[in-house]
Amino acid sequence: MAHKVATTYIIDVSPSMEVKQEGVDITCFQQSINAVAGLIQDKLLVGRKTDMISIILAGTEGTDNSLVPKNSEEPSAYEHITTIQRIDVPDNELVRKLLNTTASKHSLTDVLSALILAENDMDNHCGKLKYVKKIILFTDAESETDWSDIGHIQERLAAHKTELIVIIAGYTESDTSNFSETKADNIKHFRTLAEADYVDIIPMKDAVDMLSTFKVKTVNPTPVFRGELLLGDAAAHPLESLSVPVFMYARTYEAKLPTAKKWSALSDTHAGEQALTHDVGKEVSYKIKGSNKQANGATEQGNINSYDLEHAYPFGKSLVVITAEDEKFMKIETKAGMFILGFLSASSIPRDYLMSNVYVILPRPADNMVASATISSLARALYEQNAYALVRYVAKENQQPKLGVLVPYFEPNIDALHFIRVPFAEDIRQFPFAPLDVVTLPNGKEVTDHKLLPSKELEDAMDAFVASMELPKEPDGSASFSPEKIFNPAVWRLNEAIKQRSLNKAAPIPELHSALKMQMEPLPIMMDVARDKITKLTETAGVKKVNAKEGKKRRYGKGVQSEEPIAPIQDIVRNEEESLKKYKVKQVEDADMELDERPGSIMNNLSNVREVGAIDPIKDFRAMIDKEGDFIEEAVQQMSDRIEQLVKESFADQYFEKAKECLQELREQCKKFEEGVQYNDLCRRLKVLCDPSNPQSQRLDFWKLMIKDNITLLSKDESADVDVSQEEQAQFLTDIRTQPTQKTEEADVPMEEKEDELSADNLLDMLE
Amino acid sequence: MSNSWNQPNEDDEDELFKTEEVDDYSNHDSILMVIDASPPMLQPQENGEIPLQSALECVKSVLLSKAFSSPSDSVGVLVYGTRSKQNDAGHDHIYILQNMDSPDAPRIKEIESLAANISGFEEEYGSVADEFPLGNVFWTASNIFSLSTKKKGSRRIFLITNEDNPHSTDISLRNAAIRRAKDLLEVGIRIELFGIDKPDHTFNNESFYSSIIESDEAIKTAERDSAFQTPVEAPKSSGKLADLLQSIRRKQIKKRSEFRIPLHLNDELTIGVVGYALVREQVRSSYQKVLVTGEQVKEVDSVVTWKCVDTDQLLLPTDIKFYYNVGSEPIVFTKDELDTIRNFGEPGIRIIGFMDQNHVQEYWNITHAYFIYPNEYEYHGSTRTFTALLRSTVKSKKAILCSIIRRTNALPKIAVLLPQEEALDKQGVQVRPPGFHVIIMPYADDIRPVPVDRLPTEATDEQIDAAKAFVEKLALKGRFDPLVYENPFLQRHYAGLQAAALEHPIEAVVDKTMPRNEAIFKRIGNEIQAFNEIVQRSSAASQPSQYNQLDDEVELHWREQTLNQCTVPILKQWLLNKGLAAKGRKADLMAQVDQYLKAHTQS
Repeated sequence: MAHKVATTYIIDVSPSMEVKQEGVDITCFQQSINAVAGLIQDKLLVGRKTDMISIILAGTEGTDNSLVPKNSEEPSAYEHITTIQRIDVPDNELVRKLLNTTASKHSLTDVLSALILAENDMDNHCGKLKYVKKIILFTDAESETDWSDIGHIQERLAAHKTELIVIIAGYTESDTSNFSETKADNIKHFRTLAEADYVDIIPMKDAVDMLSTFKVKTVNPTPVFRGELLLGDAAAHPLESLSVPVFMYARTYEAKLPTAKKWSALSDTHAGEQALTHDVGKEVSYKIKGSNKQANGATEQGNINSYDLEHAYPFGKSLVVITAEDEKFMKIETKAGMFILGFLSASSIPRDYLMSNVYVILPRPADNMVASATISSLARALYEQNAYALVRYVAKENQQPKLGVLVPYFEPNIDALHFIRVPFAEDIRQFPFAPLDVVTLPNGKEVTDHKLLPSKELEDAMDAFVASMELPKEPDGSASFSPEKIFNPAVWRLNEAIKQRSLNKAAPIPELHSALKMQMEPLPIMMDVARDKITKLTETAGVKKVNAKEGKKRRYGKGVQSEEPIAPIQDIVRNEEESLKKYKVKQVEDADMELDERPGSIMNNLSNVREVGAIDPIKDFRAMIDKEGDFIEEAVQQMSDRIEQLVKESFADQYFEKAKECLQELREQCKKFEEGVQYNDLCRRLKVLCDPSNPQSQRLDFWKLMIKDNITLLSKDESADVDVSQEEQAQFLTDIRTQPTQKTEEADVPMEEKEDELSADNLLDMLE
Repeated sequence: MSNSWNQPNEDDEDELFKTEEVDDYSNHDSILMVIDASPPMLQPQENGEIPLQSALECVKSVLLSKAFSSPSDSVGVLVYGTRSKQNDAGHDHIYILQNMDSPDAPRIKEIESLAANISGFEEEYGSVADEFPLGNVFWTASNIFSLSTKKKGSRRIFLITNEDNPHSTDISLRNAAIRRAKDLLEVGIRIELFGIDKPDHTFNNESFYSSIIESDEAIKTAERDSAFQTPVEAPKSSGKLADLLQSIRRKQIKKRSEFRIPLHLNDELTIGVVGYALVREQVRSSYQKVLVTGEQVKEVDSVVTWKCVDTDQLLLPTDIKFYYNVGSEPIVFTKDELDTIRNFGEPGIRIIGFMDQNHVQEYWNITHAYFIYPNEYEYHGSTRTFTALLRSTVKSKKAILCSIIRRTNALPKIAVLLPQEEALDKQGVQVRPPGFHVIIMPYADDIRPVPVDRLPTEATDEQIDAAKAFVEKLALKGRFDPLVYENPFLQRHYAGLQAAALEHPIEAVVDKTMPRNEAIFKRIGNEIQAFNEIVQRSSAASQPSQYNQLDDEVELHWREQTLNQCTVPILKQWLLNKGLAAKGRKADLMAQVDQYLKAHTQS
C-alpha cells in the first residue's frame, strides 16, 4: 500500500530572486518556479490520489492564508504570504497558474513565518493520519527574517516528523565570503535548523541538477509468488527435504508505454447542451467468414450472438471445436511451488537460454531465521560451486508450470536467488546455419581461403578496431556500462510530450533529449580515438552496398519462373496482397526470395508510380495524380480500366467492395479535376456490364453497391466538361434500362439536397 | 501479477501499433514424403521393427506437427516399389498416397491405419522387388510439386530408403535417376535423404546418393554466394531406425527469420545481418470463434466498429484521436503524433563499444534472445566482416554493446551481442550455430531494486558446506538439454486436440518437469537432513516469526478441529503463503486448509 504523501512547496518571491546566477540564463525565481512545476508534473503523470501538494508564495504584495482572517485589519506576522494551493491533489490548472506567477516588487518576505504557516497547515490537514510529510523551501536568503521563533519550528518539525529541505540560491557550503550581512545571518540560522537530521540545505544549483536527471517511476513491490521452495518430498520425508517459505518479486519488468485511450474527434460537431465526453464506444458484431453482407442481405449480420459462438482450434486445414467442457480435460492439474529438479554447472546453461524477465526470491518476510539461513546457504553454495538450480515453477495451483534456473545474487546484507526462465523443448528452434570457418566449393572441396571468409589482414584490422573501441572503465578496471544508467527514450519522450501539451494544446512533439540520444550511439570521443583503426578496417573489409535491382537479379538467378504468362487477376491480387502484407511487416527486410516475384509497383517508391496496380489501386492512383507533370488523364484511364477489370474478373462478389471503393475515389477525383466524361463513360460501361435489368446478372450485386452508396454519374454542376443534368444523374441508378435515358424538360429540380437523403432501402424498393 | 506470465508475446508494440506477424503464403513449406516400399523395407530389423512401418510413423508425426504448428503448410506422400500404381503418367510401382495439401484429420487417420497394419499395406499396395527406373520417382515428385497450388516457399523431398545403391548394375537407369534428381534441384526442390541401415549392411551415402548430395552442396554454395542463406547441413544420417524420427523432426521446422537489418560497426562501415529467434516461448495456437449449426462449423469474423458516444455516429479511423488522462484532463494526440513519439529512426544495429563478456550480469535480462548471422545480400562482404568480428570477439572474450531497432516502428533497445562459435555433436550435427546472440538489456526503467534492505541472517561457513554437499551430489551431468523437458501444459493441449480431431481417447502425457523426489531422497536425503539440523540448531535461539506463529496457530486449530475459530484473513493469509488460491467463503477456505494439511501430514 502506498503511503500518503503531503508536500508543501514554499517559494520566496522577493525581488532579489529575480537575479540570474552566474552561468544560468534564467532567474533564481524562474528556476524555482520551473522546479516546482516540474515536480508537480511528474506527480501528475504518475497520477496518485494519495500524493498531495500545497504551494505557498512568501513575500507577495497581498495576503491570503489560513493564519490571517479574511479582511482583517490587524497587523499580523503572516502578512504577505499567499497560499495558492491548499493541500490537495494537484491538477494541470495549478501548474499553469504557477507558471504565470511573477515575483514581487517589494521586499516583504519572512521565510520563517511562511515555514510556520506551512507546518501549521500540514498539521491541520494530516492530523494523526499516517503521511509522509515534506516541506521544500526555495529562497535566496536575502530577506530580513525574524528568527525569534526558530526554537518553535524546530520542535514542531521534530514532533510531527516533517522533513524540511531548504534550497538556497547562490549558496555553496564552503565559500561564504561574499554573502551580504542578511544572507550570512539567515544562512547561520538555516544551518542551526539543519543540525537536525530531518532538515537539509541544498544549493539551488545542485537541486536543479538533481531534478534534471532522468527519473524512474517507482513501483510498489508486490510478491508474484508466495509459496515454498522445495527440494525433495516434504510430506514423505519431512526431515530429508527442504521446504523453504519464500516470496518472489519482479527484479526486471518491462515498463511499457501506457496505452492511450480513444478520443472522438466528431464530438465537437455535436451541438448539445451536455458536456462532451469525447468517449468512443466499441461495438463488436460477428459475421460468417467469407460471407458478404450485401450479397446475402442484411439478415445474416447482427444475428450472430457472441454467446452462440464456440472455440475451435486449427488442426491442419480443419477446425476442431472444443467446448468449454472439453477444454477442462485439456488442462493439467498442478501444485503450486518452486521445485528444485537438480543442480547444473553455470556454464551448461548458455546465456541465450535465459528467456524471460528476472524475479528475485527472498525468504518470507519478518524474522524468519531458518528460511533466511537456508536461502543464504543455497546461494553461497551455488556461487562457490559455480552452479545454478534447475526448477519447475508453478505460481498458483493449476497454473502452467514453467522451467527456470535459480542464480545466486548478492548485495551487502542480502543473499538471494534470481529466478529466470529457460526453454522447454518446444521453445527451442534448431535452425541449421552454414559454418563460418570453411566454404564448400561446388566440387565438394572445403576451403578456408575464400572471399566469404576474412583474410588475415581483415582479422588484424578487426582486432585493432575492437581493441580501440573498448568502453570506458571504472577506476577499479571493470566496465562502466550498466543498464541501470540507461533510460528508455520512448518513456521519456511520451512523458515530455504529455507535460508540454498539458500546458499548451498546440505544443509540438519534443525532440529526443540529447543525453538519451547519445546513450544509443558510440561516444564521439571514442570514435575520434579509433578513427584510423576504423578507416583501416573499412578499407580492408571492402564492403559494398548492393543496389536493390542488382540484388534482386542475383538472388533469384535461375530465372525459371520469370517467363510465366501474364497471370489472371486473382493471382496478381493475391500475390500482391501477400507481398504487401509481408512488405508491411518487414519493410526493409525484403529479402525473402518470394518477394522478388512481386510486381514492380510495390517495390517502387510511390513517387515513381506509373501504373495503377491491382493491390492498392487507390494509393497508386493518388500517387499518379499527385505527381509532377500531367498524368491525370492517364491515371483516370488506368483506374477506369482497373475498376472494369475488377468487376469483370471478380469471382462472385470477391472484388466488388474493392472496385466500389475505387469507383468512389475516381468519382471524387474526376469531380475535382473535371474529368467527368471519362468517369461517366465508365459508369455507363459498368451499367452495361452489370445489366441491372437482368435479375440473373452475376454482377447485380455490384450495381446494388453503387446504389447503396449512391455512386452515380457526375452532373454538369459537378464537372463542367459533362452535359448531364441533375435529374439524369438521379435517374441513372434507379433506371434499370441500360440505355442512357432521355433528358427531361424539368432540369432545375433541386435534387442535389435530396440526393443525400435517398436511402438505399428506397432505391432497393424501386428496384424490386 | 502472475497473469503476466501467460501473456503470449512480450512484444513491445501495444495494440495500437501492432503489426501482425503473418505466417503467410511466402513462408509456405511443402514437404513430399517419398518412401521406399520395396521388400527390404518390409524386412523386420533385429528388434522386430519394420523400416516401412517406422517410416509411416514418421509421416504421421510430420503430418501431426504440421497440423498443430503450421496448418497452412503442405505435405504429400508417395510410396514406390509397390505392386499397384497411382500417378498421372502411369509409371509402374509408384503410388501417390496423398497429394500435396494441408494435413487434416482424415489424412492423418489414413496414414495411422497403414502404419498400424503393415500387412494391410502389403495387401493393398503390394511390394515388389522388380527393378524400375528410380528416375520416374523423382519425375513424379516434381510433377506433384508442379501440380500443387502453392508454388512458393520452400519445397523439399524427404526420402526414406534403405537401398543405398539403386540400379547398381544398370548404368543408364542409374544416370537417368541422377539426372532427374538434379533436375529437381535445378527448380529449387531440395532432397533430404534419410538412409536406413539394413540388418547386415550399413547405409552408405557414397554408393549412389553422394552424387545427388554433391550437387546439393554445390547448389547451397551457389546460394550462399548470392547470399541467400540456407542451411548447409551435411546430410548426415545415423542410419539407425531409432534416430529416424528425431532427425526428421529436426528437419521439418522451416527456418524463419525475424528481421534483416543493417549492422553499423561504426559510422563508416555497415554490413547486413539477418536475425532469428532460436529460443522463444511456444504458446498454444489461438482459437478461432466459430458458429456451430448442426454438423456445420462456420468460422466467424468479428467486426469491430467505433462509435462516438456523444453523437452516436460511426467513427472512421481518421475521426479517432487518442488521449492520456493526466491531472484530470485529457491530453490529446493524433495517431501520427503518437507514431512520431515512438519513432526513433530506421531499423538497424549500432555498435556502441566493447566490454568483457564476464561483465554482463545474468539479471540484465528482460526477454528472450535473438541470434544474428551475416546477410550478404544487402552488403557484399558482410560474411567476411561479420566472421572477422566474430573471431575477434571470441578470441578477446569481448561482448558488444549496441543499440537495436528490430524493425520499423519497433522501439529502440540496448542489447549485448555475445559471440558464439559453431559447435557440433559427436555425429557432426550442429548444436550451436556460429553467430552472435543478441541479449536485450532492460532499461533503468525496467529494473526494480531488491525490495528489502537487509535479510535477518547470513549463512555460516558450516551451513554453506552442508549445502554444498547436497548441491554437489545432485549435479545433473553435462549440458542442459531443453529437449528433455517438454512443456506438459502444451503437450496436454496437443493431446486433447489430437484426440478430438482423430476421435481417439486422450493420450496420457508424461510430465518430465516433475521433480524425481524418490531419487532425490535416495541420493541426497542424508545430506539434506544434516543441513536441516545445522540450520535448525543455529536458528533455534532466534524468535519464531509471525509467519511461523500463523502456521502454528492454523495447524493447531486444525488438529483440535477448531478451525472455525480462525478469522477469514488468517485463513486467507495462510493459504496464500502455501501458494494456494484463497477463494470463497469461510467454509471453502476451511475446506482448503483441511485438504492441504491432510495431504501434507499423511504418509
